[in-house]
Formats: sequence, C-alpha cells, structure tokens
Amino acid sequence: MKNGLMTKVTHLGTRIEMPPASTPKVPPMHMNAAYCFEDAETLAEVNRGEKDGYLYGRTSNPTNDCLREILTAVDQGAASQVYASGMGAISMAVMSNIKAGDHVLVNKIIFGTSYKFFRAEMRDRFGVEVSFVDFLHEDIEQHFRPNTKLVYMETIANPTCDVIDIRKVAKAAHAHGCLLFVDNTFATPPVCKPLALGADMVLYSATKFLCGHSDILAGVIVASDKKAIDNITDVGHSYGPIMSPFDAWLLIRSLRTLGIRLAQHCRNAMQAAEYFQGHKQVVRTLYPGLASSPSHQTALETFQKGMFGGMVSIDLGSEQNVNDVIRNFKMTKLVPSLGAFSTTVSDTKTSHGAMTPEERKRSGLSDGILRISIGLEEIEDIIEDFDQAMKAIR
Amino acid sequence: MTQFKRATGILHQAAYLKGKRDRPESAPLFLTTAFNVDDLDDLEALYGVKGYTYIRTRNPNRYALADLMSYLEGGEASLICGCGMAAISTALLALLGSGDRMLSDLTLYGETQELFTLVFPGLGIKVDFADFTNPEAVKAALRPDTKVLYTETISNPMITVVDIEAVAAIAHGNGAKLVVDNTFTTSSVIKPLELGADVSINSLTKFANGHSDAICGSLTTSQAIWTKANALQQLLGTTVDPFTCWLVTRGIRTMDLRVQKAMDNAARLAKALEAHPAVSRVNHPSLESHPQHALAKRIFKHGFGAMLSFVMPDDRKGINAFLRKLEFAHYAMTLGGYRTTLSHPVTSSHHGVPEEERRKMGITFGLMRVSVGIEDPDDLIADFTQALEVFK
Repeated sequence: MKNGLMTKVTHLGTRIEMPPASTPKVPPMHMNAAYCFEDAETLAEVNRGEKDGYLYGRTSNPTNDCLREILTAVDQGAASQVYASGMGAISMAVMSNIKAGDHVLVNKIIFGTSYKFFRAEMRDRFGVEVSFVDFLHEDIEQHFRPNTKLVYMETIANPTCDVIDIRKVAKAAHAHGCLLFVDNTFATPPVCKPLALGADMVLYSATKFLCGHSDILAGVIVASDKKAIDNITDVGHSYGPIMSPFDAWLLIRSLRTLGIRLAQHCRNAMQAAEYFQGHKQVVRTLYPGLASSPSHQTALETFQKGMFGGMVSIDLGSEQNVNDVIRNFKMTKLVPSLGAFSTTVSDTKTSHGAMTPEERKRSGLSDGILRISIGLEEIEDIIEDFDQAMKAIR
Repeated sequence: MTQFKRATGILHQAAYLKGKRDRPESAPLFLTTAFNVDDLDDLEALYGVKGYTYIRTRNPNRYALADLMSYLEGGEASLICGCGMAAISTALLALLGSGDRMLSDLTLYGETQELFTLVFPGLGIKVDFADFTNPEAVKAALRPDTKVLYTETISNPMITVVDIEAVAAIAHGNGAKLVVDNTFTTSSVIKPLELGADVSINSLTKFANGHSDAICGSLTTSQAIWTKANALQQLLGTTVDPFTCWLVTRGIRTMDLRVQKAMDNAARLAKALEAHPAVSRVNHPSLESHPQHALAKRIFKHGFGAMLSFVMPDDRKGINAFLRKLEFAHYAMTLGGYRTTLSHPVTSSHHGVPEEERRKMGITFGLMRVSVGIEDPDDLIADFTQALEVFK
C-alpha cells in the first residue's frame, strides 16, 4: 500500500468486516454508485446473472433489496421493484408490458397524473389505444378488443373513494388474456391485498401511506409472478427512475409501523366520515366504510374486516365553499399530497390538475369535492378543526 | 455569480434555498455548523433574540425536538443530549456540586449506578442508596443535606414501579429535587413532572425513537433548571447532531401508537408466560401477582409498560438452547425497538454487581429481561412457547 495521503484517504475504510458475533439491528444504508470486482470475468458473470452480485447503482442496491423483501412479503407477492416515485412505478410497469398498437382499458376515475400518462404519453405519443371507461357503472366486458393487453384501475378511486370489485375486473381481464394492474395507494396493504383478489400487479405511490411521514418520494410494484418483475427491472434499466438508497432506508423505517399507523388512520377516518355524514354543509360524504356508500358492500367483501382506508372525500357543493373552508383551517393543511401522519386536504383541481377541465367533467369530478387524508391526530381535534372551518360556508 | 471566477462560483452558487415563503410539510434538515450574519450589528441582534449562530449553542433541529419533548412531558423546557447518559450526567451535574449529597434508588440501569459510585465520589458528590419502592425507606435514608433524589419509573430488571408522587413529596419536604428516568415507560404512559418530579429524563434511543437507529437523550424540566443545564451542556459539549434530532423527531411521530401496541403485547405475553410450566415467575405490572399492580394501575395510562422479565430454570445450557430456539425474538443489547429483544441481567447489565447484592434485588441466573416489540401478539406468544419446550 502506497504511503501518499491522498491514496490513503481514497482507499482505506471501504470494507466493513462485521465480526461474526454482531449483526446490525438495522440494514445499512448503501450509498453506492458502483461496486468493485477482482477481474473482468467475475464482473461478466455477475452481469449475465450467473453469479450473485451488485454492479451499478441504477441496476440494484443492497438497501433497496432489503426494502423489496419487506414489500414482497407484505403484499404476499412473488417479487417487487422500487422506483423514484409512484409515477416511476406506474410508467415502468405499463411500458414494460405495452407496445404501440396495443389497447389498454383504464378506469376513468384515477389520479390525474396517471390519467395524463395514459392520454398524453401512451395514446398521443406512443400509439397505444386507450379507453377510459367507468368501471363502476359500465359493463367493461363490451370494451375489450382483440388487441387489449392491460386493464388498469385503483382499489379506492382517487378522489371519489369508490371501491371497484377487483375480483370481477380480474376475471374479465384474464378471460380476455389481459393483465390487471391495481394502484392500491389509497387502500394500502393492511386494508386490501389486490394480488390475493386476482390482480397481476399492485402499484403504490409509497410517498403516501407506506412512508407516512411526508419526507420521501417512492414508487412500488409487487407482482405475483417473479418473471414479470424481472422484465420490468430490465426495462427500468433503460429509463432509470431509480430509488435512492437513502430514501429506501427511510421507507424501510416507515414500514416498521405500517400496521399500527393504518389501523389508526382507518379508525379516525370512520369516525370522521360519520361526523361528515351528519353535517348539514356536506352534500355527500364519500367513504366506503359508510353503510350508505354504494361501495360499502364491495368493501365489506374485499377489505380487511373493519378497515376502509384513511381517505374521505366530501362534496361541499361548490369550489367557492371548498376554498372558504380551506382558508379557515387552523390545523389541517392544504397539501398536494396525502397519506401522512397529519391530516391534509386537496381540491380536485390540484389532484387532477393534469387532466383537462373536459376530462374532469367526463369523469364526473366536481370542483366541490374536498379530498381529505385523515391523519393520526386525536379524532376530536380533527373534527373540531373541520367543524369550525365549515362555519365559513355561507 | 457571473462576476466571480469559476473556482469561487462553484462554492457559492445555490448556497441558499429559494422560496423562503414555501412551508415544507416535513421539517428540513439543517446540516450546517453555523449560520451567516450580515455584520456585527446583525450578530449582536441574533445573540439578543437567541437566534442561530453556531450549532453547539442552538440548532433548529435540536430545538424542534426539544420543543416536542417539552410538549410531550409537560415541562417548560428541554435539553437534547447525545445519549441518555449525557442527559443524566448533565441534569445531575447542573444540580449538584462538590460537597453535595444525593439519594438514589437501589435498582438502576447499571451505568447510571457506575456514574454514582465511580464518578461522583471523585467530584466530591456523596451518594446514598435506598429502595424507592418503599417510601419509608426513602424517608429514613434522607439527610438534611440531601439535595437530589434519583429514580426510574420502572426498574431494571425486576420491573418494579415507584410511586413518583409519594417520593416527590418526600423530596420536596426535604427541600430536594426529584429526577426521574422515564425511559422504560415514556410520556405515552406517565408524565413524571405532572406527578411532582422536577426533571424527567429519557434515553430517546429506546421507545421514544423506537427504530433502533439513533442514539439520543433528553431532559425536560423547569426554565430555571434548564438554564443551568443548558449552560453546562455548552461547556461539556454533550450536544447531539441535527440528523439524529431529525430522525428522532420522525420516530416520535408514531411513539404513542408503538408504545400502546407494545404494551398490549407485553400484557398478553406476560399472561402466557405466567401459565407456562417452565416459568417460575413473571414480572410485569399488568399481573395481579405483581407487588405494585395497584399502584401501576393508578399512575400509568393505557397499559403497564412494554418491559417484562421472567424466570426460567437456573440452567445455562437450557437458557442457551432456549435463546437459539427462538425464531424471531432475539438477544440484543438494547430495548424499546419495534422487534422483541431479550437480555440476560446476570451476564450483562448486572454482571458487575456482586452475587450477594444481586440476590437481594431478586436477580437470579434464570432471569431474562424482555423488551416487547410491536409484532403480532399471536406470533410472539407462539415463538416463546415453542422455544420454552427446551425445558421439557
């Protein structure tokens, strides 16, 4: 070993030989762009998949792999992959399975940017036929074409909180030789397991409830078929929407409390929904846990007992009313996100801003809807804040 | 930046975050050792409003965590330190000087005990010991010059409970302060300051942060005591870095949920262990057999803590086999994390205590301490039950 200072500082401190007696409690954060190899042949073997190993940060990372282990198990899948954001996961999953000339069947009520992805990227720029259909009220059977390859929906639709029967859609999709992808961001794994209901892939913006602390962005794909994940992983290497190991480390940390956080989100949301249902300024309360909800039966049949998610939407009648209420909140905040430990709201122009006004109208999204992400605060405090804020409605 | 050469620009460009009006949903992390001022007037003004200058003095993330702890413990002010021991030593040395006397509980975390028996005498501080579960014994051990009383909410490893209210009254009657280590319980369960204590200490490393990935400590107290402790901390340098504060703040967001879950699990596990033929005794305040069951019921909220200990046969081979047979609960030199961990007092925390003293405390070779985690309770009970089969 050379004695030069710069040589020492650049080469020492690279290997951590953990004494066999000590296993770290928490997975290390592997901030690594690349890995070293003894010789070219070994590198080639790892590259060809003949030997186990890590090559380059865009292809895989040990911390991210620890995260994937948890995610795969939680959704009872065969394999998973993680990306830099929910849109990263959605775009990679879809683009790995669809090519120009294919047809996709998409529920017309989904997150605005997801909608835009199908319309602006898949349809307008890459020659994919896209049908936006109302999965809840229409018979999707009639919309299948010989070239339909994929069916796409959300477990709990954003922002209407409709619950679509995954079992029925999966059956129809498979009967036509199609795959079913389900974005389970609003519902979350403790509430619903789409793979168990027949979905081929479940997607998440892990930014939301999975992380739950408003501090990282991440996207997740879990599949019941390992080969499907291998395929996505391969395609993803070309696009590179990779997840930082730092964010993966924080997401692992968040997942440790997933079950207890979601249990509390659901308890609070149920009480909040009941409160809104009785409120004279609320035209409609949209929450699958309410017996009055058209989605209640489907939720009872496909969700974990007693859990209906942390998202509640209320129709206040007009955009004016929504704005007046937002301005009067003392604790609740207007945030273009959801699923954190604090209660936040979003209006549809924000959450579905990527859709045109016509598209929003066709999907039946009223500007009077206030979408609420119910947090983990004391329910009395949440209700108190809404109570005093809604007094602003004239 | 265009008027400077590249070597200057590369250091100064993008030094400041745009959008000062923006309010991030999650607190930013201030990884900076110092803050800038425009001139000397600006600097003096900053000192005046106690703004941010050099971060050993004050830094935004540490102060945010301090505010959070004051809120949770119901105190006027908090000091965040590098670890639990930093909080303990800073708190006590702010209250005691050479020639002073303190009275400590008999059963304590091992290293706190060492601070009192090995370090304090060298500083001229006299330390007496008494069994704090017996208020009469505490009264009897008081001297006119006893200035500080020290105890833990739940003792290690016999899991006994102290009547904080009664001991606080005794301390104040003698013109003394009561310092309480709330680590095993946290403010989710009990707020010592509400019961009369003068300082509440936490090793935030444990249940508060709850994710086994940061070392941090805190003391929460009155403004008057805080001022003395803060001045001392500046000189001893027992501060903590902003990243740790940020992580711990994040960990505390789910503290109440985690502690509740862990306590529910502990009560169920305690019940299951008590019924097991290989277990001769279980120490958990939820059990009616516990000497302070009624007291715990009265002073603890929502549960009885997530720490328990139990006694297996005094058999080293058997205990080793038991530990190896456990499938996910495991041996670890820490507590308060999301996974259930075990530790063996005789070979670890109380290794330095003479056998005679240990027996007096009730610590035998077969005693195992458990920090109950937030796993599924059925899985937890099943794991212990199958592992205890080694004693059949």
